[in-house]
Amino acid sequence: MYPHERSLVTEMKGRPFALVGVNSDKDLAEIRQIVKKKELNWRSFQNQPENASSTISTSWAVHGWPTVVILDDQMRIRYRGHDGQAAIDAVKRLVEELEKPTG
Amino acid sequence: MIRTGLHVLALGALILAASCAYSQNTPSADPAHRARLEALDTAWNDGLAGWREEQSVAIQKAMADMEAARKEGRPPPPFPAMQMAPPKDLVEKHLADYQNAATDYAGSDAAIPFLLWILRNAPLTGDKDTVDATAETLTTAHLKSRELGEVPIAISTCSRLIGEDRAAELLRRIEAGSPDGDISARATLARVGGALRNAPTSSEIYANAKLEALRAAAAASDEAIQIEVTGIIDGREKLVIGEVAPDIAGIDLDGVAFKLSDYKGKVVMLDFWGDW
Repeated sequence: MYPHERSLVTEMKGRPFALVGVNSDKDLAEIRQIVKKKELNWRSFQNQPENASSTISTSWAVHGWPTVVILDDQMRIRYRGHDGQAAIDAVKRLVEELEKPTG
Repeated sequence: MIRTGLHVLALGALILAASCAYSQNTPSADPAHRARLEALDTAWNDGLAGWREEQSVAIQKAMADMEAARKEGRPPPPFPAMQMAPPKDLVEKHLADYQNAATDYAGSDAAIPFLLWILRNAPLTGDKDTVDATAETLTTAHLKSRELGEVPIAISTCSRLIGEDRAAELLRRIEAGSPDGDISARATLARVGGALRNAPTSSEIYANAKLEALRAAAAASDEAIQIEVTGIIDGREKLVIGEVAPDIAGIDLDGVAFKLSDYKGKVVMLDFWGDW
């Protein structure tokens, strides 16, 4: 999965797109090393920061990993699921729509 | 390829989550009891680790076979069936040890972690009588214990084996009899959770489940129960396609605060991930 996400971020550079992660790993030091080693080029929330009483994934009713949610420019949910290709297709379609000149 | 990769990752995460569910136990204050529990759990966890390693090797081999087929222009081979839970013979190998320990501590709450292990894992053997008797013991002899926090979800998980009605009966017993409001709320949530997660949101069964879950959450002091109920309901009613997503205010992996709404105006791929 990492290479596809990395490629998507690179491909979409300069366009109205952002990949934002919610990382569920417990060992912060280890995941920071992985981010560096595997050149993961997107920013991630900690799913459950130290002392937090709950997780972002619980609030978002995420029960399986990985789960991908695609939001449009108004933060409206346009895709939610586990199909990476469907998510990427939705991103490309929405970015193209957003870049279309208006009027 | 990305789709296959996601499915394999999801499978790996499921196996990990499944195996975690079979391997948790609570610590004990009594050294002899703690030593016995740790010895059994260590042996069990070693067995689980061996099983996970076999699964991991099988997944890696299947991925390599698929990649080789792709490079050679051949149709991909069928992905082999994976075991989603520890195998029956592995559970049976450890079951008697936990049963003996539960018997030795019978009548005392020290038996609870051994009984809980049996309740979680004996369903994998298909032994309905053992599972039912274990749930019965936990919800009668230990009904007033405050160590029953993980029992409701374990009963819910084995409801297919012991029957939905029987599971509901046991959970209602905890709801009515536990002196701990949070345990009682967890029992309610375990009983109505299936309908809350799966029934059509326009159905009466969903409406009733939602009402019961909200009442239980309101009575609970554990904030995590309230967040879980809200999360499930929002997931069914709000976090669906077409709805505006709630903001996330959190910190990144370097501890720097940021918000999901910082990216408003852009298309966002929000990826719930982990390096498993």
